Amino acid sequence: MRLQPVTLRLQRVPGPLTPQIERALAIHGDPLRWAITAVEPGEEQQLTGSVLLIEAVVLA
Amino acid sequence: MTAGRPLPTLLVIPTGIGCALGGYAGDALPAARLLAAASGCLITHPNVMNGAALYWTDPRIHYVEGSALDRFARGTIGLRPVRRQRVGLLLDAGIEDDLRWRHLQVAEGCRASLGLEIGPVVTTEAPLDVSLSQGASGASWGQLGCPEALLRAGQQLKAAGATAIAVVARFPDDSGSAALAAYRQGSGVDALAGAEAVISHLLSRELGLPCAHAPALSALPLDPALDPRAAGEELGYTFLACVLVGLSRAPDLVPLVPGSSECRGFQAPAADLLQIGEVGAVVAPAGALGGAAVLACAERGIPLIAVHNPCVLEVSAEALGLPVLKAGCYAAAAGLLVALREGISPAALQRPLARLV
Repeated sequence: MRLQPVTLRLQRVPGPLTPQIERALAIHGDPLRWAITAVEPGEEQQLTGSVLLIEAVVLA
Repeated sequence: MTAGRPLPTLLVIPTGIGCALGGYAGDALPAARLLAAASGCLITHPNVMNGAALYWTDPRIHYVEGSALDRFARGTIGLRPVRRQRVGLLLDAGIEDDLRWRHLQVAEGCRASLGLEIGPVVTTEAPLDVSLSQGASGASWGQLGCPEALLRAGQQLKAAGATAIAVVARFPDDSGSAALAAYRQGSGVDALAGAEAVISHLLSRELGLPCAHAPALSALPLDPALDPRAAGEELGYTFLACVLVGLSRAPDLVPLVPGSSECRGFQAPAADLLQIGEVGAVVAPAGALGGAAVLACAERGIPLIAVHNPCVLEVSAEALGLPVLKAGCYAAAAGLLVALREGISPAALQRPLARLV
C-alpha cells in the first residue's frame, strides 16, 4: 500500500461533478481524499468546458 | 430559539486551506456552537471542533471525521448517537519517550478528570514517517511513509475492543519556518492539517470506526505576538485532549449499502440512525465548495449556505454553477438555518422581492 499525491486537470462535461472526478482519479488509484482547488472558466464563461484543478491523495 | 424540530445540518470548514475562521486551533468552535443552537443538530468534523487543549461538548453536535463525513454525505453510512465510546490510543513509534509520556498523561487526565473511557494503548511497530507538503493551490497536504503500520495498529485496537481511535503521530518540527511564523501570527495555512487529514481518513475508512488525529510536536518558544486563533495549541504539551473528548461521544458509523465495500457489519436502519436524507442544510466557506461532502450534498439538492470566510481557494458557487444561499458571516448563516428550520423561505427575507410573474 502506498499513498500517492495526485494533481490533475479535468475538463468539465455536463452532469454531476462527483462521478466525473472519481472516474478521473480512479486511473491513479483508490481516492482517499480530494478537492477541487481551482476552476478555470470555459469559453464565454460556460460551465461545460471549464477546467477543474483537483488535488488528491490516492491509495496506489 | 426556535420551536421547529431540529434541522440536521452539516458544517464543513476544510482543513489546511487557511480559512480566516476555522483555519487555526478550534477557532470555528463559537460558530459551530451558534449553528448547533440554530439548527438543533449539527454534524461537523474535527478541524472545526479541535482546539488542542481547548474543547467544547454539546449533545447537539456530532463529531465526525472528514472521510466519514464524505461517506455520510454520499449515503453509504449513517450516524448513530452513543452514550460513550471506548477510545483506543494509537501512538506512533516515532514519538520520543518524554513526548510519549506527555500524551499518556493527557489520556490519564481525561480518564480521571472527565470520566472518559480510554484504552487500550497500542504503539505502531515502526515509525509512521509523516511528511508535509503543499499543493499548487497553497492547501496543505501530507504523506505517510508507513501506512501499513498505522492500519495494523488500528486493527489491534479494534480487535481489543476500542470503538473509536485517537491517533498521535510524530510530525516534523519546523519551529524556524516562515510558514509556521505566519500561522502563529494569524496569516498562514496550517501546514500540519493536510497530513493529519490523510492519517485519519485512511484509518477511519479502513476500520469503519470514528477516528481523529493529534500531532506530536516539540513545544514552541514563547511568541508574544501569537494570534488568539492559534493560542489553543500553545497551552500545553499536546493537542490530544480535544481529540479524546470529541471521540468520546462521536456517533457510530453504520454501513447502509449492502454489497458495497463497507457492507461488513451492515445493519438495517434503526429509528435513531441519522441519515443524509434527513439533512436540511450544509454550511461551507464560499470559496471552498469543491470538497467531496459539499458536492455530494449539493448534488442531492440539499440547501447550501455559502459563508464569506476567506481562504487560499476560490472555488465559488459561480465557478461550479451551484445554487447557494449567501451569508456574509456565520451569524447570518445561523439566521438562514433558523429560517429553514421554521419553514420560512430565505427569499422572503431579501429585498427586492421579485414578482412571481
